[in-house]
Amino acid sequence: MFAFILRRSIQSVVVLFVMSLLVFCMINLVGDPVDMLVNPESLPDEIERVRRDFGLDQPVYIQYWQFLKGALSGDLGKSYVFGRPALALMAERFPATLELAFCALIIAVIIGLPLGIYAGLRPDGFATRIIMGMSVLGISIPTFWLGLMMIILFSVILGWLPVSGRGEIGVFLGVESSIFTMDGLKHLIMPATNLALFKIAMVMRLARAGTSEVMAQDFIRFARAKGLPRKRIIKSHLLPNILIPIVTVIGIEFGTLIAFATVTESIFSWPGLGKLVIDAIINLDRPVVVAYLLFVVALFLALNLIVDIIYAALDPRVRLQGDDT
Amino acid sequence: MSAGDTRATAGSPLRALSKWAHAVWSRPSASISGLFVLLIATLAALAPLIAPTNPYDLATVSILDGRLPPGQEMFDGTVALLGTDGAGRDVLSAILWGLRTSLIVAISSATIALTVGLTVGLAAAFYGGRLDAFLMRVVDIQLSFPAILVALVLLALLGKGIDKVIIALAIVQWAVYARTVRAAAMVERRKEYFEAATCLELSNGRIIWKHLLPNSVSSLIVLATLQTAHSITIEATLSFLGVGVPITEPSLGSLISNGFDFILSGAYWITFFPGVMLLATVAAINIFGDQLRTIINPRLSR
Amino acid sequence: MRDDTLLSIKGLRVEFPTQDGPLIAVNNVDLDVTRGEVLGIVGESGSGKTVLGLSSMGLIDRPGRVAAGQVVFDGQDVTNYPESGWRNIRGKRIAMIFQDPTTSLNPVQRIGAQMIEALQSHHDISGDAARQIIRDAMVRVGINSPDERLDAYPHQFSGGMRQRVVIAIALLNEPDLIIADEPTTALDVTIQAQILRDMRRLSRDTRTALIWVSHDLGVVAQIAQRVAVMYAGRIVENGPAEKILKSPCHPYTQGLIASMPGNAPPGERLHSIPGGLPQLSNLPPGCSFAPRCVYASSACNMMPELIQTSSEHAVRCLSPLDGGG
Repeated sequence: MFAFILRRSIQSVVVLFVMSLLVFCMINLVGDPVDMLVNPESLPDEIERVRRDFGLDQPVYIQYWQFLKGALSGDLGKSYVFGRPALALMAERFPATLELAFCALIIAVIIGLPLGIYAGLRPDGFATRIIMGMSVLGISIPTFWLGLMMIILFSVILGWLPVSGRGEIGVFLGVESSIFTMDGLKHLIMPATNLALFKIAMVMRLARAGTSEVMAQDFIRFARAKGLPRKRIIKSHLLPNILIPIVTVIGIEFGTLIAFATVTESIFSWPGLGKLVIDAIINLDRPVVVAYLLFVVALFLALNLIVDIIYAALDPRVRLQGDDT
Repeated sequence: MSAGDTRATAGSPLRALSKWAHAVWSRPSASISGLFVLLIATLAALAPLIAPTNPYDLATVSILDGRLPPGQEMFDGTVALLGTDGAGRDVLSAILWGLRTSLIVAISSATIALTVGLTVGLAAAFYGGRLDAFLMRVVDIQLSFPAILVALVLLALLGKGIDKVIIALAIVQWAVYARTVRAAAMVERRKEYFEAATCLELSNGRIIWKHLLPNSVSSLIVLATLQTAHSITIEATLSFLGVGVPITEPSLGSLISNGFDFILSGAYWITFFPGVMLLATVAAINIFGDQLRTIINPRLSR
Repeated sequence: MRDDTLLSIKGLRVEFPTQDGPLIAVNNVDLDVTRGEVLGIVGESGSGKTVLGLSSMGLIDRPGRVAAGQVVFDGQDVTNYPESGWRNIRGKRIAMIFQDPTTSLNPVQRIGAQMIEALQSHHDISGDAARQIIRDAMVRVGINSPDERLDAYPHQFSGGMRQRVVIAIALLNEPDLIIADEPTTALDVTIQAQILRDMRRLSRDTRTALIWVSHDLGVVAQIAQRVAVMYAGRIVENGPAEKILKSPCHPYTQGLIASMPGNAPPGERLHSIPGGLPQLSNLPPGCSFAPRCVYASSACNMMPELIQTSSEHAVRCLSPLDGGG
């Protein structure tokens, strides 16, 4: 098991390194960011000075080397727009995104999993048809438009929830989050639900497919032949067997949630990473884009690794590999 | 196509097509969604001809018509069935034109992605070995990142413009096509007649074209449909965020974005109707794609 | 119907709908099992023997259905019994052993737990008491050091061990009837012999009726007192095991016996029955075996009835072989 973790970690580091190279090269082939920093009508001297200040006059491989040195010590350059270290900006905004994505994940699982399992257990039921129909709707609705409609309904027309922004932050067991305040929850619920929507449909379909598949297997039939009550079959035989693949998929999808948060954050003006990076892309704020990319790559690699480990831990066939008689 | 089937997938494609067509016709969800998709495509194609106004002809647009609720008459007498936006453009016309742009981008990018993906997938399946391993590794890495992220990054690099959006979307999608094509082609490859064909020294091209390719077609059709829906959504999201198509050629996503500012002041129609259109389009394509999948490959219809 | 008849099947017909019309897996089958007897059901794959076993326990799932006939267990009509009714019968009064022990057991649940739940579903006993009973049961089926095994997972056992666990589970609640569907087919020959021997002993000791389903007449011969031969969903011969093996009346049975490897003179080709099974959704009129039968005549276009040739022997053939097969 330890060897497994070690091997995967090394693989991840290599990929990270390659990606950093890739990202850096790609960014450098596009345009000249100096044009964005200075008034185009400035004197050539001025432009040269800015170029030197930002190290943009050096050959590419030196720039990359500087970049790599900096990256390893936590310095990913300064934002052209904010003038502050890119990494610091990301660290500042990340908790908000994390909070949003996490809540969305929980909502998606709480709603999607039971519905999907139900649909799998009663494939010909009327309720199932409705559920599956809604899941198709769920993946077809443009999330951003739905977000707008939610704002119109709940904020403008009904006035129940605030239009945008993040609420007050509370502290619980040393963790800071806006989940712990009423005001925070009110601000959180719309964006989290909006973000969760696509995932609810996905979790539902996954759960349904998994349930159908497992229920058709021999050991379920054997369990029935043993005379076990249905509830017990679902609890001890169905659930553990579908949860393993579902957990792994959900884990990976958590990364997607973080990526998708860009849209939700824009609509609800949620002060997270997503909004930061969209603005950076529009404003050609290279360091921030690069920092975001590397950050996301690292995050995905870490997620993949964690998910693999969880899978190995959950499935006794993988976990106890050495013990086969 | 059973696992034990080692015969070639002979049989005329025409017969398969007509069988599918018949199946589509007999299932209400398939035929209704299919007709709807056709209708939308026609509307989009004919937009310049059938739209009540041309919302992008600056000469005909007047700010005095701005923010009229649905059903009101505009300055020049035409009735704005779905209202007008802040600058006085008829929402219905804008939707038709926007739909056109959305579909053009989606279909172009899907076509490019399909071609590239098909080539890569067939090559990987046919040549196997290290080429296959390498190509699939690339595919895997790309697919482990969410589409929207890849699209954002690509657009950050490529800049603005409708052609850049098409390219970015194509790059986002090719990997899925490649993987599906390769999987289908590999199944074909394992069948015994494939060895026979290679022994006969038929040209590579012929083997690929006549044997590996037809087997992939059925999965491709389903995939293309669902992917098109997916890319419409991604393009709409990108345009909404401001990094998609330019404002001179707005798609449905841009329209929704335009309407965003007017929500608080109550002019809901500017954002509402384009959204409904987008939803209807994507839903219809998704439903149709799902139905196609059930028809073409009933075993996988879970 | 005699007093000690445990299971009585009359006119059973089980259908599965397909695109080409209903597939009749079990076609007008009459079968009786008395308490404590060992009945062997022999047939090729697709003869309907597994479906017959499953329908005795109400385990025919949608889209299959019992189209006609009656299943009476210990005086109770259980045809189309509701699930709630079956709960008291399955695992407690009738137990079933499936062919593949690998798929019969829940891969992510410990062996001990799977055995205990079989007990606790039918009896109100504590976990500790249950563990004791389980340990004894495991020893009884030949599993040594049961304590270690209890906490293990199925994949940590060999195939033979797994099947012993399944058999132990079947015996746990001391059922009146065990239906064993090809229980040794997936195991290697030495284990097969052991398990056969053990099952024979156990059945005798506990007065449990046993239905042993197999395609292998040789295996059935070692354990059964009576044999029923099935072909294309019908019973074609039914009688005492010894009589059937020494002097079969039905040409199909004769063919089966001839194709047993032990019966071929050394060095000579093994006998096989020409042709293949008919399509169960498209049966020819008349005797289903006629197309492959060496003795067939034009008279065989009429479906023969199952006729008693003696008080214990019945055959479905227009010109049954007469001894000395």
